[in-house]
Amino acid sequence: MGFHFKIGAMTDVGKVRAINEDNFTVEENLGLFVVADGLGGQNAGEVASKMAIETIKSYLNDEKNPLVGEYKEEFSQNGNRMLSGIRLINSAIYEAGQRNSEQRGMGTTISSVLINDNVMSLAHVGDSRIYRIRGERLERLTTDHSVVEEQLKRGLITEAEAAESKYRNVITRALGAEQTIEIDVDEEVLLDRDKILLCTDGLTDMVGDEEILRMILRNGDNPRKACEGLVDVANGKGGMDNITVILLYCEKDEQKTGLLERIFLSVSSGLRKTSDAIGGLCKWKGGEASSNFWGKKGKGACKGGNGNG
Amino acid sequence: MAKLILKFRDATLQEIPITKPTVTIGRVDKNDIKIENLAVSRQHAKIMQDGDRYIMEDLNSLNGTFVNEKRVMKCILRNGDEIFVGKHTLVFIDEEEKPIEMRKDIDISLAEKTVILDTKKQRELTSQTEEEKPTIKEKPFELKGGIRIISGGVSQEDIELTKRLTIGGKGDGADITLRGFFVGKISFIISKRPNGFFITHSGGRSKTKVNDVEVERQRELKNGDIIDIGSTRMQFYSYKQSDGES
Repeated sequence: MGFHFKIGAMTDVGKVRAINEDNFTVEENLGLFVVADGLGGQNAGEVASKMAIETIKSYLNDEKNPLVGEYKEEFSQNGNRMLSGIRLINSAIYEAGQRNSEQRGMGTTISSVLINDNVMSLAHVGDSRIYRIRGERLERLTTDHSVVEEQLKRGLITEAEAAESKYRNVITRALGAEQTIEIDVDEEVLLDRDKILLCTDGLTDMVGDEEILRMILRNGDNPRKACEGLVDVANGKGGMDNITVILLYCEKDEQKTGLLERIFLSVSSGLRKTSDAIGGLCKWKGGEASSNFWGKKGKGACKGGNGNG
Repeated sequence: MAKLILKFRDATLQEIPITKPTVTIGRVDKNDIKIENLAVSRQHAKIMQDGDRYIMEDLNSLNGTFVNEKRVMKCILRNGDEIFVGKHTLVFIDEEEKPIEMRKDIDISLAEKTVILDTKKQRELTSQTEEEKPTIKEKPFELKGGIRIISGGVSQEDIELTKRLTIGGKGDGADITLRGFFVGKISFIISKRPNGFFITHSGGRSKTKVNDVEVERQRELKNGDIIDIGSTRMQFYSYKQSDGES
Protein backbone atom coordinates (compact mmCIF):
# COMPACT_ATOMS: atom_id res chain seq x y z
CA MET A 1 0.00 0.00 0.00
CA GLY A 2 1.63 3.20 -1.13
CA PHE A 3 1.81 6.71 0.20
CA HIS A 4 1.24 10.11 -1.27
CA PHE A 5 2.66 13.34 0.09
CA LYS A 6 1.86 16.91 0.76
CA ILE A 7 5.15 18.72 0.31
CA GLY A 8 6.59 22.01 1.42
CA ALA A 9 10.14 23.05 0.58
CA MET A 10 12.01 26.30 0.94
CA THR A 11 15.52 27.71 1.02
CA ASP A 12 16.55 31.14 2.22
CA VAL A 13 19.90 32.92 2.31
CA GLY A 14 19.30 34.12 5.87
CA LYS A 15 20.20 37.53 7.28
CA VAL A 16 23.99 37.43 7.36
CA ARG A 17 25.45 35.46 4.48
CA ALA A 18 25.90 36.98 1.06
CA ILE A 19 25.22 33.79 -0.85
CA ASN A 20 23.13 30.70 -0.34
CA GLU A 21 25.32 27.60 -0.24
CA ASP A 22 22.42 25.28 0.55
CA ASN A 23 20.71 23.23 -2.12
CA PHE A 24 17.78 20.84 -2.10
CA THR A 25 15.66 18.69 -4.34
CA VAL A 26 12.16 17.27 -4.24
CA GLU A 27 11.68 14.38 -6.67
CA GLU A 28 8.24 13.12 -5.90
CA ASN A 29 8.17 10.51 -8.68
CA LEU A 30 11.41 8.97 -7.38
CA GLY A 31 10.41 9.35 -3.74
CA LEU A 32 13.66 11.26 -3.26
CA PHE A 33 14.06 14.27 -0.97
CA VAL A 34 17.46 15.80 -0.25
CA VAL A 35 19.00 18.83 1.47
CA ALA A 36 22.71 19.72 1.29
CA ASP A 37 24.73 22.46 2.98
CA GLY A 38 27.93 23.30 1.14
CA LEU A 39 31.15 24.50 2.71
CA GLY A 40 34.39 25.88 1.35
CA GLY A 41 35.91 29.19 0.34
CA GLN A 42 34.76 31.51 -2.44
CA ASN A 43 31.72 29.92 -4.02
CA ALA A 44 33.03 26.39 -3.62
CA GLY A 45 30.40 25.48 -1.01
CA GLU A 46 27.64 26.32 -3.42
CA VAL A 47 29.33 24.23 -6.08
CA ALA A 48 29.69 21.25 -3.74
CA SER A 49 26.09 21.21 -2.54
CA LYS A 50 24.84 21.60 -6.10
CA MET A 51 27.03 18.73 -7.27
CA ALA A 52 25.61 16.59 -4.48
CA ILE A 53 22.03 17.23 -5.50
CA GLU A 54 22.64 16.78 -9.24
CA THR A 55 24.68 13.62 -8.77
CA ILE A 56 22.21 11.78 -6.56
CA LYS A 57 19.27 12.84 -8.69
CA SER A 58 20.74 11.56 -11.93
CA TYR A 59 22.11 8.42 -10.29
CA LEU A 60 18.78 7.37 -8.78
CA ASN A 61 16.83 8.36 -11.86
CA ASP A 62 17.98 5.22 -13.66
CA GLU A 63 17.44 1.96 -11.84
CA LYS A 64 19.95 0.26 -14.09
CA ASN A 65 22.86 2.29 -12.74
CA PRO A 66 25.32 -0.11 -11.11
CA LEU A 67 25.83 -0.07 -7.36
CA VAL A 68 28.98 1.62 -6.10
CA GLY A 69 30.91 0.04 -3.23
CA GLU A 70 29.98 -2.66 -0.77
CA TYR A 71 26.36 -3.93 -0.62
CA LYS A 72 25.03 -3.75 2.92
CA GLU A 73 22.84 -6.78 3.50
CA GLU A 74 20.98 -5.27 6.43
CA PHE A 75 19.37 -2.65 4.20
CA SER A 76 16.95 -2.85 1.30
CA GLN A 77 17.93 -2.56 -2.33
CA ASN A 78 16.73 1.03 -2.27
CA GLY A 79 18.78 1.82 0.81
CA ASN A 80 21.82 0.45 -0.96
CA ARG A 81 21.09 2.46 -4.09
CA MET A 82 20.96 5.65 -2.10
CA LEU A 83 24.18 4.72 -0.32
CA SER A 84 25.80 4.19 -3.74
CA GLY A 85 24.60 7.57 -4.92
CA ILE A 86 26.14 9.30 -1.93
CA ARG A 87 29.45 7.47 -2.34
CA LEU A 88 29.43 8.72 -5.90
CA ILE A 89 28.88 12.31 -4.73
CA ASN A 90 31.84 12.00 -2.40
CA SER A 91 34.20 10.93 -5.18
CA ALA A 92 32.84 13.55 -7.55
CA ILE A 93 33.40 16.42 -5.12
CA TYR A 94 36.73 15.11 -3.90
CA GLU A 95 38.07 14.76 -7.42
CA ALA A 96 36.78 18.18 -8.48
CA GLY A 97 38.54 19.64 -5.44
CA GLN A 98 41.76 17.94 -6.44
CA ARG A 99 41.57 19.22 -10.00
CA ASN A 100 40.67 22.80 -9.26
CA SER A 101 42.71 24.70 -6.69
CA GLU A 102 39.93 27.21 -6.00
CA GLN A 103 37.64 24.38 -5.00
CA ARG A 104 40.19 22.47 -2.98
CA GLY A 105 38.80 21.39 0.36
CA MET A 106 35.18 22.08 -0.58
CA GLY A 107 32.57 19.78 0.84
CA THR A 108 28.93 19.42 1.69
CA THR A 109 26.62 17.88 4.23
CA ILE A 110 23.73 15.77 3.02
CA SER A 111 20.47 14.51 4.43
CA SER A 112 18.60 12.29 2.06
CA VAL A 113 15.39 10.28 2.14
CA LEU A 114 14.28 7.72 -0.43
CA ILE A 115 10.77 6.35 -0.06
CA ASN A 116 9.54 3.16 -1.68
CA ASP A 117 6.07 2.05 -0.72
CA ASN A 118 6.07 2.47 3.04
CA VAL A 119 9.78 1.90 3.54
CA MET A 120 11.81 5.03 4.07
CA SER A 121 15.56 4.75 3.61
CA LEU A 122 17.53 7.64 5.05
CA ALA A 123 21.17 8.62 4.84
CA HIS A 124 23.20 11.50 6.09
CA VAL A 125 26.64 13.00 6.53
CA GLY A 126 27.40 16.17 8.52
CA ASP A 127 25.04 18.30 10.58
CA SER A 128 21.94 18.59 8.40
CA ARG A 129 19.12 16.69 10.06
CA ILE A 130 16.08 14.51 9.51
CA TYR A 131 13.20 14.58 11.97
CA ARG A 132 9.98 12.61 12.18
CA ILE A 133 6.82 14.03 13.68
CA ARG A 134 4.48 11.25 14.70
CA GLY A 135 1.38 12.38 16.51
CA GLU A 136 2.56 15.26 18.67
CA ARG A 137 6.07 13.95 19.12
CA LEU A 138 9.15 15.18 17.33
CA GLU A 139 11.94 12.66 16.99
CA ARG A 140 15.36 13.20 15.47
CA LEU A 141 16.31 10.34 13.18
CA THR A 142 19.91 11.42 12.56
CA THR A 143 22.96 12.04 14.72
CA ASP A 144 25.03 15.09 13.77
CA HIS A 145 28.60 14.45 12.80
CA SER A 146 29.82 17.39 14.80
CA VAL A 147 32.21 18.08 17.63
CA VAL A 148 29.40 19.26 19.89
CA GLU A 149 27.38 16.09 19.35
CA GLU A 150 30.47 14.02 20.08
CA GLN A 151 31.17 15.99 23.26
CA LEU A 152 27.56 15.56 24.36
CA LYS A 153 27.72 11.84 23.74
CA ARG A 154 30.77 11.56 25.95
CA GLY A 155 29.27 13.69 28.66
CA LEU A 156 31.91 16.43 28.34
CA ILE A 157 29.32 19.17 28.04
CA THR A 158 25.65 19.70 28.87
CA GLU A 159 22.81 20.45 26.44
CA ALA A 160 22.89 24.06 27.61
CA GLU A 161 26.63 24.33 27.01
CA ALA A 162 26.14 22.75 23.61
CA ALA A 163 23.73 25.47 22.55
CA GLU A 164 26.32 28.11 23.45
CA SER A 165 29.37 26.24 22.22
CA LYS A 166 31.74 27.97 19.84
CA TYR A 167 32.22 24.64 18.11
CA ARG A 168 28.61 24.46 16.96
CA ASN A 169 29.66 24.91 13.37
CA VAL A 170 32.51 22.43 13.42
CA ILE A 171 31.59 19.19 11.72
CA THR A 172 33.56 15.98 11.72
CA ARG A 173 32.39 14.52 8.43
CA ALA A 174 31.57 16.07 5.08
CA LEU A 175 31.14 14.75 1.57
CA GLY A 176 34.17 15.48 -0.59
CA ALA A 177 36.58 16.18 2.24
CA GLU A 178 38.37 12.88 1.92
CA GLN A 179 38.66 10.10 -0.59
CA THR A 180 36.39 7.76 1.34
CA ILE A 181 33.44 8.58 3.53
CA GLU A 182 31.45 6.90 6.27
CA ILE A 183 27.74 7.37 5.62
CA ASP A 184 25.02 6.82 8.22
CA VAL A 185 22.12 4.83 6.79
CA ASP A 186 18.90 3.74 8.41
CA GLU A 187 15.49 2.47 7.43
CA GLU A 188 12.12 3.22 8.95
CA VAL A 189 8.53 2.20 8.33
CA LEU A 190 6.27 5.06 7.35
CA LEU A 191 2.92 5.23 9.06
CA ASP A 192 -0.13 7.15 7.96
CA ARG A 193 0.11 10.85 8.95
CA ASP A 194 3.84 10.75 9.67
CA LYS A 195 5.54 14.05 8.95
CA ILE A 196 9.17 14.11 7.86
CA LEU A 197 11.38 17.19 8.14
CA LEU A 198 14.73 17.57 6.40
CA CYS A 199 16.69 20.69 7.25
CA THR A 200 20.10 22.35 7.34
CA ASP A 201 21.74 23.76 10.47
CA GLY A 202 20.61 27.26 9.51
CA LEU A 203 17.29 26.19 11.04
CA THR A 204 18.42 24.05 13.96
CA ASP A 205 21.17 26.41 15.19
CA MET A 206 18.56 29.14 15.50
CA VAL A 207 15.39 27.29 16.46
CA GLY A 208 15.03 24.66 19.16
CA ASP A 209 13.26 21.33 18.70
CA GLU A 210 10.22 22.37 20.74
CA GLU A 211 9.69 25.48 18.71
CA ILE A 212 10.07 23.55 15.46
CA LEU A 213 7.37 21.14 16.61
CA ARG A 214 5.07 23.95 17.68
CA MET A 215 5.40 25.71 14.34
CA ILE A 216 4.60 22.51 12.43
CA LEU A 217 1.60 21.60 14.56
CA ARG A 218 0.28 25.14 14.43
CA ASN A 219 0.09 24.98 10.62
CA GLY A 220 -1.99 21.84 10.69
CA ASP A 221 -2.21 20.27 7.30
CA ASN A 222 -0.23 22.86 5.39
CA PRO A 223 3.45 21.99 4.96
CA ARG A 224 4.16 25.05 2.82
CA LYS A 225 2.97 27.43 5.48
CA ALA A 226 4.92 25.50 8.10
CA CYS A 227 8.10 25.82 5.99
CA GLU A 228 7.60 29.55 5.66
CA GLY A 229 6.96 29.78 9.38
CA LEU A 230 10.16 27.90 10.22
CA VAL A 231 12.28 30.08 7.93
CA ASP A 232 10.70 33.22 9.42
CA VAL A 233 11.49 32.12 12.97
CA ALA A 234 15.12 31.34 12.07
CA ASN A 235 15.48 34.74 10.40
CA GLY A 236 13.75 36.43 13.30
CA LYS A 237 16.42 35.04 15.60
CA GLY A 238 19.24 36.40 13.48
CA GLY A 239 19.32 34.15 10.42
CA MET A 240 23.04 33.54 10.87
CA ASP A 241 23.23 30.91 8.16
CA ASN A 242 21.38 29.74 5.06
CA ILE A 243 18.15 27.99 5.96
CA THR A 244 16.66 25.07 4.03
CA VAL A 245 13.64 22.98 4.99
CA ILE A 246 11.65 20.22 3.33
CA LEU A 247 8.46 18.98 4.96
CA LEU A 248 6.68 15.81 3.83
CA TYR A 249 3.25 15.00 5.15
CA CYS A 250 2.68 11.33 4.45
CA GLU A 251 -0.77 10.04 3.72
CA LYS A 252 -1.56 6.44 3.11
CA ASP A 253 -3.34 5.74 -0.15
CA GLU A 254 -6.91 4.75 0.51
CA GLN A 255 -7.95 1.21 -0.10
CA LYS A 256 -10.86 1.46 -2.42
CA THR A 257 -13.50 -1.15 -1.99
CA GLY A 258 -14.95 -2.17 -5.31
CA LEU A 259 -18.14 -4.08 -5.95
CA LEU A 260 -16.33 -7.30 -6.59
CA GLU A 261 -14.30 -6.90 -3.46
CA ARG A 262 -17.37 -6.07 -1.41
CA ILE A 263 -18.89 -9.34 -2.49
CA PHE A 264 -15.70 -11.08 -1.52
CA LEU A 265 -15.62 -9.36 1.82
CA SER A 266 -19.21 -10.23 2.63
CA VAL A 267 -18.38 -13.87 2.33
CA SER A 268 -14.79 -13.40 3.43
CA SER A 269 -14.87 -15.71 6.41
CA GLY A 270 -16.24 -18.52 4.32
CA LEU A 271 -13.93 -17.74 1.47
CA ARG A 272 -10.93 -17.57 3.73
CA LYS A 273 -11.63 -21.07 4.88
CA THR A 274 -11.91 -22.16 1.27
CA SER A 275 -8.71 -20.36 0.38
CA ASP A 276 -6.99 -22.04 3.31
CA ALA A 277 -8.16 -25.34 1.98
CA ILE A 278 -6.92 -24.52 -1.52
CA GLY A 279 -3.70 -23.22 0.00
CA GLY A 280 -3.36 -26.58 1.65
CA LEU A 281 -3.97 -28.28 -1.66
CA CYS A 282 -1.37 -26.17 -3.38
CA LYS A 283 1.11 -27.19 -0.76
CA TRP A 284 0.24 -30.75 -1.49
CA LYS A 285 1.04 -30.27 -5.12
CA GLY A 286 3.97 -28.04 -4.28
CA GLY A 287 5.98 -26.35 -6.99
CA GLU A 288 6.09 -22.85 -8.45
CA ALA A 289 3.23 -23.14 -10.89
CA SER A 290 0.50 -23.29 -8.30
CA SER A 291 1.82 -20.37 -6.31
CA ASN A 292 2.15 -18.23 -9.43
CA PHE A 293 -1.36 -19.03 -10.41
CA TRP A 294 -2.59 -18.05 -7.01
CA GLY A 295 -0.63 -14.79 -6.97
CA LYS A 296 -1.85 -13.72 -10.39
CA LYS A 297 -5.42 -14.48 -9.72
CA GLY A 298 -5.36 -12.56 -6.45
CA LYS A 299 -3.89 -9.48 -8.09
CA GLY A 300 -6.30 -9.55 -11.01
CA ALA A 301 -9.29 -9.74 -8.75
CA CYS A 302 -8.12 -6.76 -6.68
CA LYS A 303 -7.50 -4.62 -9.76
CA GLY A 304 -10.96 -5.35 -11.08
CA GLY A 305 -12.39 -4.36 -7.77
CA ASN A 306 -10.58 -1.04 -7.74
CA GLY A 307 -11.74 -0.21 -11.25
CA ASN A 308 -15.33 -0.59 -10.32
CA GLY A 309 -15.06 1.46 -7.15
CA MET B 1 61.67 25.24 23.51
CA ALA B 2 59.97 23.57 20.59
CA LYS B 3 61.87 22.84 17.42
CA LEU B 4 61.48 21.45 13.96
CA ILE B 5 63.76 18.91 12.33
CA LEU B 6 63.86 19.22 8.58
CA LYS B 7 64.34 15.90 6.83
CA PHE B 8 64.52 14.66 3.30
CA ARG B 9 63.80 10.95 3.18
CA ASP B 10 65.80 9.68 6.16
CA ALA B 11 68.48 12.34 6.14
CA THR B 12 68.31 15.15 8.67
CA LEU B 13 69.05 18.43 6.93
CA GLN B 14 68.56 21.00 9.63
CA GLU B 15 67.35 21.58 13.17
CA ILE B 16 65.29 24.72 13.53
CA PRO B 17 64.32 26.05 16.97
CA ILE B 18 60.99 27.88 16.99
CA THR B 19 61.89 31.30 18.34
CA LYS B 20 59.21 33.48 16.77
CA PRO B 21 55.47 33.56 17.46
CA THR B 22 54.87 32.69 13.80
CA VAL B 23 57.16 30.65 11.60
CA THR B 24 56.43 30.49 7.89
CA ILE B 25 57.33 27.67 5.54
CA GLY B 26 57.64 28.03 1.76
CA ARG B 27 59.76 27.94 -1.35
CA VAL B 28 60.81 31.58 -1.52
CA ASP B 29 63.37 33.57 0.45
CA LYS B 30 61.09 35.59 2.68
CA ASN B 31 59.99 32.46 4.57
CA ASP B 32 61.53 31.54 7.91
CA ILE B 33 61.96 28.01 6.70
CA LYS B 34 62.80 27.84 3.04
CA ILE B 35 62.44 24.54 1.23
CA GLU B 36 63.65 24.64 -2.34
CA ASN B 37 61.49 22.15 -4.11
CA LEU B 38 58.89 22.70 -6.79
CA ALA B 39 56.33 20.66 -4.86
CA VAL B 40 56.43 23.35 -2.18
CA SER B 41 54.31 26.46 -2.70
CA ARG B 42 55.82 29.91 -2.39
CA GLN B 43 53.96 30.34 0.89
CA HIS B 44 53.07 26.86 1.94
CA ALA B 45 52.26 26.76 5.63
CA LYS B 46 52.85 28.47 8.93
CA ILE B 47 53.24 27.46 12.54
CA MET B 48 51.90 29.74 15.22
CA GLN B 49 52.48 29.69 18.93
CA ASP B 50 49.27 29.85 20.95
CA GLY B 51 49.91 29.81 24.70
CA ASP B 52 51.85 26.70 25.32
CA ARG B 53 50.84 24.93 22.15
CA TYR B 54 51.63 25.24 18.47
CA ILE B 55 49.20 25.42 15.61
CA MET B 56 50.04 24.48 12.06
CA GLU B 57 48.07 26.08 9.26
CA ASP B 58 48.23 25.34 5.57
CA LEU B 59 48.31 28.53 3.48
CA ASN B 60 46.23 27.16 0.61
CA SER B 61 49.23 25.38 -0.77
CA LEU B 62 48.85 23.60 -4.07
CA ASN B 63 49.98 20.19 -2.91
CA GLY B 64 48.73 20.44 0.63
CA THR B 65 50.26 19.92 4.05
CA PHE B 66 50.03 16.55 5.70
CA VAL B 67 50.40 15.83 9.38
CA ASN B 68 51.07 12.20 10.12
CA GLU B 69 49.96 11.31 6.61
CA LYS B 70 46.65 13.08 6.92
CA ARG B 71 45.93 16.18 4.93
CA VAL B 72 45.08 19.10 7.18
CA MET B 73 44.23 22.75 6.84
CA LYS B 74 44.84 23.60 10.45
CA CYS B 75 45.75 21.56 13.46
CA ILE B 76 47.41 21.60 16.83
CA LEU B 77 50.85 20.04 16.74
CA ARG B 78 51.86 17.36 19.18
CA ASN B 79 55.33 16.25 20.14
CA GLY B 80 56.64 13.91 17.45
CA ASP B 81 54.20 14.93 14.73
CA GLU B 82 55.54 14.62 11.21
CA ILE B 83 54.59 17.43 8.86
CA PHE B 84 54.95 16.60 5.18
CA VAL B 85 55.55 19.55 2.88
CA GLY B 86 56.21 18.59 -0.70
CA LYS B 87 58.84 15.89 -0.47
CA HIS B 88 60.30 17.08 2.82
CA THR B 89 59.38 16.21 6.35
CA LEU B 90 59.39 18.50 9.36
CA VAL B 91 59.37 16.65 12.65
CA PHE B 92 57.84 18.72 15.42
CA ILE B 93 59.56 18.31 18.78
CA ASP B 94 58.17 19.84 21.95
CA GLU B 95 59.56 18.14 24.99
CA GLU B 96 57.83 20.47 27.40
CA GLU B 97 54.45 19.67 26.02
CA LYS B 98 51.88 19.61 28.79
CA PRO B 99 49.58 16.67 29.09
CA ILE B 100 46.26 17.52 27.62
CA GLU B 101 43.54 18.09 30.15
CA MET B 102 40.04 19.24 29.52
CA ARG B 103 39.93 19.50 25.79
CA LYS B 104 36.64 21.21 25.39
CA ASP B 105 38.09 24.70 25.35
CA ILE B 106 41.03 24.60 23.00
CA ASP B 107 41.14 27.89 21.19
CA ILE B 108 41.66 27.31 17.54
CA SER B 109 40.22 30.66 16.49
CA LEU B 110 37.50 29.18 14.38
CA ALA B 111 35.96 30.85 11.43
CA GLU B 112 32.28 31.71 11.79
CA LYS B 113 31.51 29.47 8.87
CA THR B 114 31.09 25.76 9.13
CA VAL B 115 34.41 23.97 8.97
CA ILE B 116 35.45 20.36 8.77
CA LEU B 117 37.77 19.06 11.41
CA ASP B 118 40.49 16.51 10.88
CA THR B 119 40.47 13.31 12.89
CA LYS B 120 43.31 14.22 15.19
CA LYS B 121 41.80 17.45 16.39
CA GLN B 122 38.49 15.69 16.69
CA ARG B 123 40.10 13.27 19.08
CA GLU B 124 41.55 16.12 21.09
CA LEU B 125 38.25 17.92 21.39
CA THR B 126 36.37 14.85 22.38
CA SER B 127 38.69 13.15 24.81
CA GLN B 128 39.26 14.34 28.34
CA THR B 129 42.87 13.46 28.90
CA GLU B 130 45.57 12.04 26.77
CA GLU B 131 45.98 9.09 29.12
CA GLU B 132 42.31 8.43 29.23
CA LYS B 133 41.92 4.77 29.94
CA PRO B 134 39.31 2.88 28.06
CA THR B 135 36.38 2.61 30.40
CA ILE B 136 35.36 -0.89 31.21
CA LYS B 137 32.01 -1.23 29.63
CA GLU B 138 29.48 -3.85 30.45
CA LYS B 139 29.69 -6.55 27.92
CA PRO B 140 27.36 -5.42 25.17
CA PHE B 141 24.53 -7.63 24.13
CA GLU B 142 22.99 -7.76 20.74
CA LEU B 143 19.32 -8.49 20.56
CA LYS B 144 18.64 -11.21 18.01
CA GLY B 145 15.30 -12.28 16.68
CA GLY B 146 13.69 -14.60 14.21
CA ILE B 147 10.48 -15.96 12.80
CA ARG B 148 9.51 -19.61 12.91
CA ILE B 149 6.82 -20.75 10.50
CA ILE B 150 4.27 -22.84 12.34
CA SER B 151 1.78 -23.55 9.58
CA GLY B 152 0.69 -22.46 6.13
CA GLY B 153 3.97 -20.92 5.07
CA VAL B 154 5.53 -21.13 1.65
CA SER B 155 8.88 -22.03 3.15
CA GLN B 156 9.24 -23.96 6.37
CA GLU B 157 12.60 -22.52 7.28
CA ASP B 158 13.20 -20.13 10.16
CA ILE B 159 13.97 -16.57 9.15
CA GLU B 160 16.60 -14.67 11.12
CA LEU B 161 15.69 -11.02 11.47
CA THR B 162 19.06 -9.56 10.55
CA LYS B 163 17.87 -6.69 8.37
CA ARG B 164 16.77 -3.30 9.62
CA LEU B 165 13.40 -3.97 8.03
CA THR B 166 12.16 -7.44 7.21
CA ILE B 167 9.23 -7.58 4.82
CA GLY B 168 6.51 -10.22 4.84
CA GLY B 169 4.12 -10.44 1.91
CA LYS B 170 3.24 -11.85 -1.46
CA GLY B 171 5.57 -9.61 -3.48
CA ASP B 172 8.90 -10.53 -5.03
CA GLY B 173 10.81 -8.33 -2.60
CA ALA B 174 9.42 -10.04 0.49
CA ASP B 175 11.84 -11.69 2.90
CA ILE B 176 9.09 -13.86 4.30
CA THR B 177 6.89 -15.10 1.45
CA LEU B 178 3.22 -15.39 2.28
CA ARG B 179 0.33 -16.74 0.34
CA GLY B 180 -3.35 -16.01 0.34
CA PHE B 181 -6.06 -14.22 -1.55
CA PHE B 182 -6.16 -11.11 0.61
CA VAL B 183 -2.52 -10.95 1.59
CA GLY B 184 -0.79 -7.76 0.43
CA LYS B 185 2.34 -7.51 -1.68
CA ILE B 186 3.92 -6.02 1.41
CA SER B 187 1.77 -7.31 4.19
CA PHE B 188 3.79 -6.48 7.26
CA ILE B 189 7.19 -5.09 8.14
CA ILE B 190 9.25 -6.00 11.18
CA SER B 191 11.68 -3.33 12.16
CA LYS B 192 14.79 -4.11 14.17
CA ARG B 193 15.78 -1.44 16.69
CA PRO B 194 18.48 -1.49 19.34
CA ASN B 195 15.73 -1.77 21.95
CA GLY B 196 13.63 -4.45 20.31
CA PHE B 197 11.57 -5.59 17.34
CA PHE B 198 8.45 -3.82 16.13
CA ILE B 199 5.81 -4.98 13.70
CA THR B 200 3.71 -2.77 11.41
CA HIS B 201 0.78 -3.88 9.30
CA SER B 202 1.45 -2.55 5.86
CA GLY B 203 -1.23 -3.46 3.36
CA GLY B 204 -3.66 -5.97 1.97
CA ARG B 205 -7.07 -7.03 3.15
CA SER B 206 -5.68 -9.71 5.38
CA LYS B 207 -4.84 -8.00 8.64
CA THR B 208 -1.73 -8.84 10.58
CA LYS B 209 -2.61 -10.22 13.99
CA VAL B 210 -0.36 -10.67 16.98
CA ASN B 211 -1.73 -13.04 19.62
CA ASP B 212 -5.14 -12.73 17.91
CA VAL B 213 -5.16 -8.92 18.10
CA GLU B 214 -5.04 -6.84 14.91
CA VAL B 215 -1.94 -4.68 14.68
CA GLU B 216 -2.84 -1.00 14.76
CA ARG B 217 -0.01 1.11 13.41
CA GLN B 218 2.93 -0.45 15.21
CA ARG B 219 3.51 -2.80 18.12
CA GLU B 220 6.47 -4.32 19.87
CA LEU B 221 7.06 -8.05 19.50
CA LYS B 222 7.78 -10.18 22.55
CA ASN B 223 9.49 -13.52 22.59
CA GLY B 224 6.90 -16.20 21.83
CA ASP B 225 4.33 -13.91 20.18
CA ILE B 226 2.15 -15.61 17.58
CA ILE B 227 1.72 -13.76 14.28
CA ASP B 228 -1.19 -14.67 12.01
CA ILE B 229 -1.66 -13.42 8.52
CA GLY B 230 -4.05 -15.08 6.11
CA SER B 231 -3.44 -18.77 6.45
CA THR B 232 0.12 -18.39 7.69
CA ARG B 233 0.88 -18.75 11.37
CA MET B 234 4.29 -17.76 12.66
CA GLN B 235 6.04 -17.38 15.99
CA PHE B 236 8.47 -14.63 16.88
CA TYR B 237 11.44 -15.49 19.04
CA SER B 238 14.22 -13.32 20.44
CA TYR B 239 17.30 -13.79 22.54
CA LYS B 240 20.32 -11.83 23.67
CA GLN B 241 23.69 -12.65 22.29
CA SER B 242 26.84 -11.15 23.74
CA ASP B 243 29.34 -9.64 21.33
CA GLY B 244 32.02 -11.96 20.15
CA GLU B 245 29.91 -15.06 20.21
CA SER B 246 28.65 -16.21 16.92
